[in-house]
Amino acid sequence: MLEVTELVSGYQRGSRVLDGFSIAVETGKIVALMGRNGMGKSTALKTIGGQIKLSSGRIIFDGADITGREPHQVNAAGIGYVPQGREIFGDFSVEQNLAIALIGRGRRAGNIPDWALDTFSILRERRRQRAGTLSGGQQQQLAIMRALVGGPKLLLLDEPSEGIQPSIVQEIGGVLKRFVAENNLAILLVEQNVDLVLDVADRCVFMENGRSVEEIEDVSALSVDPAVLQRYLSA
Amino acid sequence: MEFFLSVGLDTLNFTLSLLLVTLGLVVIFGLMNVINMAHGEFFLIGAYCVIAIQSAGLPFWLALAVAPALLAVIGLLLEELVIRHVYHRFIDTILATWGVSIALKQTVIVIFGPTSQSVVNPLPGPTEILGIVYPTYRLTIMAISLTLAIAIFLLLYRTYLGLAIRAVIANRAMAGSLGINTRRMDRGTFAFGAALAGFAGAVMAPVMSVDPQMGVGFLIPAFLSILVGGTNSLLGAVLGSGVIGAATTTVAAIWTQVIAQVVVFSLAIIIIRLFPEGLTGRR
Repeated sequence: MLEVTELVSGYQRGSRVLDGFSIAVETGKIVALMGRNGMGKSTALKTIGGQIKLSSGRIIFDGADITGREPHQVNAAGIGYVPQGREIFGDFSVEQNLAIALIGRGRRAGNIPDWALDTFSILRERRRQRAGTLSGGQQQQLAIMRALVGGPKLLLLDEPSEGIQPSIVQEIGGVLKRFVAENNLAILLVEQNVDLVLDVADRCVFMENGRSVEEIEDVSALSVDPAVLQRYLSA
Repeated sequence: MEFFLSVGLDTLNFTLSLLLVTLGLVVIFGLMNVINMAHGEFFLIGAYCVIAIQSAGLPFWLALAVAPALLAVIGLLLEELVIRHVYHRFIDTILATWGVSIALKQTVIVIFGPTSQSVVNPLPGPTEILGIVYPTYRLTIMAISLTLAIAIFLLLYRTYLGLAIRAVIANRAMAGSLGINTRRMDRGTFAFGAALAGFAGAVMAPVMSVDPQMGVGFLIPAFLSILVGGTNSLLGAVLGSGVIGAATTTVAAIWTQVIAQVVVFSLAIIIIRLFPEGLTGRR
């Protein structure tokens, strides 16, 4: 459903943080994108999401060419984005954070569906509280739900486990698997946390110097043979 | 007693007039962080709308609709042609909008001439309030300013459109990724700020001498109000207008206008030194 071919992009004109990056994500699958810091994982998500302009390459989503689209157009095509560091609106309440996503999808912002507040129960409990007062893990749950409440077909998820206690990481992993199973959601997951990848991912793609270099079809093989992990993840 | 009441009313009048002029600036400078040197000219064009309407023999009140509509169009054009290329580039913004301000002012001079013109007061005569006789139109200005400030507060903080506007301002990239068309928001917000400035110009025209330099007189205290009150909240602008307005009027009533200016600027410097984020600013 998502086919990315030979992306070249960077933060300044002419810089090539992504240097011929290709990846494919199928409906109902979770694909993990792994690699050391600075290899271009976050840049890959931002480029697909339209936040960074690409200088060449092609992005096909759901049969449509969305290359070079603006972020709000990428969202309208059915791609949700959870950035690294969550980027929730700290001055807004939990409900208002979810409302913004509904407004963006052209839905009635007053009707936050029950499941959006109940999937992570803390969101209902704290729904009128300023989102900036939530803990890191709770903010992550909010950021994920903010992306899911609009009903995307693909979720771009950047390091959801970063700085978050293991029990919440586990809960998030469970929710992601459930959404994929129940709604045919596809997820492109950038992650350094091997346990989370082993738990949720169907496939794993390793990235080095702005391009994808190796693909593991069966993620469970990673736990049996950690040599690949060592090659791409250890410094 | 009467002296205090009349100074109090003058203070309130000046504060609310200042607030009226500041509202447009709150949107463009306070919320969008654009230093728009042409803001005084927006105000000016609003006032000249009244002149144009009056010389066409049409009723004054029509100008209160025409001025914001015209300025919204000017704001849209200006945003599209100039401002969008210089967002987040402070010096460039100042230079570009300064150029625009000169062009707008000269256009006004070409059309209406350089001399000052006066507007017929649409509500002549006084009204007695608390035992004091006060010009009716000034009381009207106060009511308009207060109503508009409340309306804008409700728009920004109690509607979903306001929520979306604030989301774009808080985190443009993320708001875009959540599906909000940030370009359209920028355009609309800037045009709205321009329309407010034009409206203020039209409302204030009957109590001012309408000439091509009139924009500057209110622009400086308006900028000061925002800086003193805190740049990114409406409440800050209200508070800032209050401080600047009250200081100016009371000092001027006791001593002279000149001393009032000295006191106000000193006060502003001290407040900004003590509260760099403004009186309502966090951190």
